[in-house]
Formats: sequence, C-alpha cells, structure tokens
Amino acid sequence: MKWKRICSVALATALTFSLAACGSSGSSDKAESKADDGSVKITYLSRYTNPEDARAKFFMDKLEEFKELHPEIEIEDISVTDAEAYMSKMKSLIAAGSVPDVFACSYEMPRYDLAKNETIANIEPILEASDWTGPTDRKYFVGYEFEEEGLDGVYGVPNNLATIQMFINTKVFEDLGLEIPQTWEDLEEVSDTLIENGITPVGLSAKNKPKCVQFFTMLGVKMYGMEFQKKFADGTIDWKDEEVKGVLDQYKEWVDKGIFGENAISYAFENVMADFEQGKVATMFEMSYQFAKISSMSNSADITCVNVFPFEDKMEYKGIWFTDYYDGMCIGAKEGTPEYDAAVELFKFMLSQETFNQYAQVMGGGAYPLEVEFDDSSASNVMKDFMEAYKDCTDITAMLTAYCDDTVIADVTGSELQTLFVGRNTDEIADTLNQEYEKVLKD
Amino acid sequence: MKLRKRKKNSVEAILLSMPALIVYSCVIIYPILSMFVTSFYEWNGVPDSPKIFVKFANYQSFFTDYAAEYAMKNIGILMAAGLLCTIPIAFFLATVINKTFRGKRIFRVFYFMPVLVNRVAIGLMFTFIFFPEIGPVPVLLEQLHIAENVNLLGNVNTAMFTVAFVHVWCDVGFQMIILSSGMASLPDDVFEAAMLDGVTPWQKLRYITLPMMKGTLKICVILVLTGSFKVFDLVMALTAGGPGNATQLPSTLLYTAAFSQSKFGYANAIAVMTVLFCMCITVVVNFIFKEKDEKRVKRRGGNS
Repeated sequence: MKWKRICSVALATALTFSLAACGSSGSSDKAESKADDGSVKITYLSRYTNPEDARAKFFMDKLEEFKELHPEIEIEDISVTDAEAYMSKMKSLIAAGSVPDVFACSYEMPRYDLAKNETIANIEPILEASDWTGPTDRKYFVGYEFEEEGLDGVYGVPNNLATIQMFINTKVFEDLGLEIPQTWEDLEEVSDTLIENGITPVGLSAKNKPKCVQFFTMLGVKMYGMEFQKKFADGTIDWKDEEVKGVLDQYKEWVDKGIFGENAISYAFENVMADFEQGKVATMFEMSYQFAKISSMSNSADITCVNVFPFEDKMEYKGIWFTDYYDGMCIGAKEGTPEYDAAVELFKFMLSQETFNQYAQVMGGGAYPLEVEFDDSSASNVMKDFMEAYKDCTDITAMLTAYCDDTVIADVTGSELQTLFVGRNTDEIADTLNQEYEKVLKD
Repeated sequence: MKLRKRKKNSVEAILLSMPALIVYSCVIIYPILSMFVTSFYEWNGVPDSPKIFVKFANYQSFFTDYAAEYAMKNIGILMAAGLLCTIPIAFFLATVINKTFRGKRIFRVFYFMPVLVNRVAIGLMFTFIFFPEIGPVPVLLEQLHIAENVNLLGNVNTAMFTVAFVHVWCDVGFQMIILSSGMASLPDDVFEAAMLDGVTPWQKLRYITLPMMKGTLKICVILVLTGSFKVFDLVMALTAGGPGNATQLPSTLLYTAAFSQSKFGYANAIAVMTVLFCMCITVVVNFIFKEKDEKRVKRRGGNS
C-alpha cells in the first residue's frame, strides 16, 4: 500500500515537471537551430500556396529552386493565401513572438510598430550591398521607411505592384453601335442605352469594402489630382469639404443612376468577372491580380485595358494610376543569428532582378518596382494594352486611407462608403466619417 | 498521529492533483486572466510594444463605438429569433421525431444535418440561394409576384433578419436533439393516466409535457441566447458584417479589432463583456425559471 502511494506520488511529480518543461521559451530552441552539420532552419510565409495559380506556382517553384541551391538552409514554408487567414496568422505569430524569418508583409500590418520594436530588420545595408540586384527606386518604398516618425532605415522591399484599371468589353459597345468610352462623360452618355439593354456600364464588386474605397480614390484623384491624396496624407481630411463631398456626391449619383448595376452590393469580384465574360458588364474596374483570368476568358480577344477614365475637363490628371506598392517582403530574423544570414540569402534570391525578369515572363508582363526585361511576344492582348497604357503613368496613388496609416480609419471608411450602395445619403455618410475620424485622430 | 496522517494525505492530494491543475491553469485560467488583464491596456499585439494602462477606456470605447451599437441591436435580433423561432420549431420537430413512424431515422438525420455541416459552407450555400436575380428565393418571389428584384442580404433592412433565418436553420437540429432527449425521459405512466382522464393533446402539452420539460427548456434557452454571441463564421461567409455595419455582431467586431485594426486591448474588452453578458443571461434565465417554479409551488400550496 505504502509503495503504491509512493509510486503514484513520484509519477505525478515526474508528470508535473515534464509539463513544466513544455512552457520553456522558444528562444533557446532557436539558438540551437543551427545543427552540427552547419544547416540552419528558417520559416517563410508567402501568399502563394495554390499551384494552379500561375503567380503562386512561379514563386513556389522559385522556393524549390532556392532549396536546391542551398541544401544547408532548411525552409519551413508556412504560407497562406486567403487574406483573412493571412492576417489572423500573422497577428497570432507576432503576438506570440514567432515572426517568420522571411515573410510577405501586407499594408495592413502595423509596420511602423514592428520596425520600431526591431521585430522586422532594417534591410538598408542589404540594399546598399554590391550583390543586391532587386528594387531600389525609393518611390515604391513608401510604407517601409519611417523617417518622418524619426526612425532611420528601410524595413522591407515591395515585391508586388497592384494596379487598378478599366477592362472594356469592346464587343458590347460594337453590338449596340456605341462608341468605346474614353472619358467618364463618354461613359455617362452611353450608360442609358447599356442599362436599357440589361448591361451594367461599370462592373464594381461593392461587396468588397476596399473596392468601394479604391473607386472613391480614383474618382477623387481624377477630379482633383494628387492634391486630393494629400488631404488624407496630412490628416486634415474633412468629409464635408467641398471637394471631398463633391466626389462623394458624384459617386452616389452614379450609384443611383445604376452605373454599377442594381445589385452591385451583392457582387464579389468573381460575380463581376463572370458577368463581364458573358457580356452583361460593359467595363470592369478591377485589380491587376485578375490579368491571368481575364486573358484566359473566352472573349479575351474583345477585351481592352485602359487606365481609369479621366474627366473631359480634367485631362491633366489622366496619367494618374492606382498602383498599390504596399505589399512587400520583410525579414523577421534577428540580426547576428544564423537564421538572419539564411533569411538574407532567401530575401536576395526572391527579390533579385532575375526573379523579377522571370516573373514578368511567366505573367506575360505587368507592373513591377524595377525595370524588367522579358520577351513580350507571348503576352496577351490585354496585357499588351496595359503595358502600353501604363507607359503614360505620371503619378501613382494607393488607396487613400492607406496614407492615414490607421487601420480603424480604413475599416470605417470602407464600411461607410459601402452604404452608398444601400441607399444611404452622402450627408449622413460624411457626418459619420467626420465623427469617427475625429475620434480616431483625437486618440 | 491522526493529524500527521491527515497532513501527509493532503500533501499527497496536492501532488496528485498538480498535473491536472497545471494543465487547467495553462489552458483555461491563464488565457482568461491574460484576456482580462489585457482588456485594461492599449496594445497593438506586437510583443515588445508598450502596453499602456488605460483603465476602463476600452470598455468605454465599446459603448461609444458606432459599430457596437449595430452589433448589440443585431445580437437582440439573433436572440429573439432563437427564442421565438429556434425553440418552438425545435420543440415541434422533437415531438415529431419522438413519435413512432416509418422513416423516423431519416427525418432525424435530415433535421440534424445542418448542425454537422460547416457553417462557412452553409454561408456560401445561402449566399447563392439569396443571390439577387438568379438565386432560387428571389426567382421564386418574383414568379409568385410577391416582390421583384429582391436582394435580401444586400439590403440594410433585411440583411440581419436573413442572417437570423440562416442561423435558426442551422441551430434547430441541435436544439431538437436536446428537447427530444428531454421528451424521451418523461415517464409514460403520467401520459397514460392523462389519456385515461381524457385530456386533450393541447392540455397534455400545456399541463404535462411543458412543465415536466422545464429543466431541458431552460438549458435550450440558455444555449440559444448565449450561442447568439458565438455566431461568427456564418456571418463572415454571408455578409462579412455588411452592408456597412448592418450585420455586425460582437464576434465580428472583436475579430476586426484584433486582426484588422491591431487593437488587442479593445478586442479583449469585447471578449470580457461577451463573457459577462453570457453570465448575466444565464443568471437571469435561472432566476426566471426558479421564480416560476416557486410561484407554482405556492399556488399548489394555496389550492390544497
């Protein structure tokens, strides 16, 4: 009986200590991650997991190529494609202090805080090194430099430029004997005929809140130029301001007129794309991510790609393109560790000139943060149109709320602008936005 | 001697319960305490970032957050749908599947099936069912000349009620199983005696079944009410809280605050308040059922 009791207590004690050991810090594990044979293990988080997507397959193949070139570096790929899942995963990893060694860093991440707390590395020395062949044009590094906040250095490199443009189904216009629009006025002129024939003049997936803000952005800069962007960047935005309210009213007028269709609020991008292919949508306001899908549409020969239309009396703003340069790559590994050295190797490889050239070849063109060389003979007509149009780019803008550098503002603006599609009037929206902006900016 | 033995036993008891205590503390107590403590701080989720002690500011923010107003109103709609639709329908279905008839098992499986299906899949399925112009529901409504071009999920006035309908559809099967097991445990002799006395089916339901199932009903009410706070995946798949904030719920607010806005302190404050709301609901429901019980006992005492 006595022995039985002693044994049970001893077992319980052993179990307790073994459990206590489970809570030990991961830092010691990391320090020992460089094995005796010189190999090192790093974590890598990208947005590419679906090999059926050409872009994803390219980067997945590049990772395999790097693994073959560097057998001493073991890479744990923890990539995730879905935007919501990506944000959840990144936030959880950051909160747990397990930031991936190399990772795709979305504009929604608190980059300044990450940089300030040295959670992401200052990669300026890497950019200045002679073996760096990747992007260096500082125009695209907005969101990775925080000099205004008093922080020196560069904390990431943009690897994806996402543009927004208008895709036009020329056959729809030809069939109805209409001129292909060059300006918003042209489009307004033909919109009644299009609507009468059951065709949506502009396909816009308003179910997606950021898409509502992106359209507002383009409308604003096409009406008032880059000065309109500054209102957001300066933090002096007033939604009752004549210009801002003017843009909001123009947006609302088109919504009410049915320019975006009666049920734009229920349309996700795939619904708009399907209708565009079937000729139920005449023009489409869509991101460059969709180039591959649009190029492979059954009616791709009828599709042309142009910049978002200008206004006839504001032709000076014609060359402003929506170009989101916020998605990029960062290094989470701590400097001076074997993981950091390995992460730098992967970083340089994934962002090299050669990678961008090959990427452009695979995608058949596109917009990149550096000059690319590729054989464009195999590029689709849609991509060729885009490349031709993008040559006239004079200024670029990302989503206006991105310049406010506050995620609450981005969310609130998206929610409120979406209500334009469900009958809310612009005065109410402007009031709510002013109240919410004031609250956020006051905090 | 006895005292020494008792002391020895208590040491052994502590040692033996240590593994379970440590596991419980790590998995349950620590996260709850951490959530509670963080709710008093402003923190962006970055480990080395300073946590600023803001007292009750995060709780105060909830009551001034314009989206929270929508969230609380919508929780009310979900609760009302649960009480007025889920439980009565589940009760009716439970009485059906408690009868003996051919194909009873198939009925039970069909009714229970929505509980087993992933809520995101259900959300996507209903997105199509309600999709304007081409979805079966708008088409049917148009064919019957009830309404034209209906957009149930894209209208601020109907979106939340549509979400509530889908939630009821998902939850009915689970409540049906609970109520059905409650019904199955009722003693047959009471019903046999009632039959001999010639009571009508309504009287049987009103004076025998319902009072005897009070305990099960109480559990159902608590589950339905507190379950409303847990609805998340369904809303994300159906509307993602839109249009605007029309289908926002505390769970979607919490998610947005933590994972989109990096406001972990505020997110934890919402979580703490959700727990408090659920506890209050449980206390109130227990109190109501207890009060009814006491009144009944008093009435019986008075009658005798």
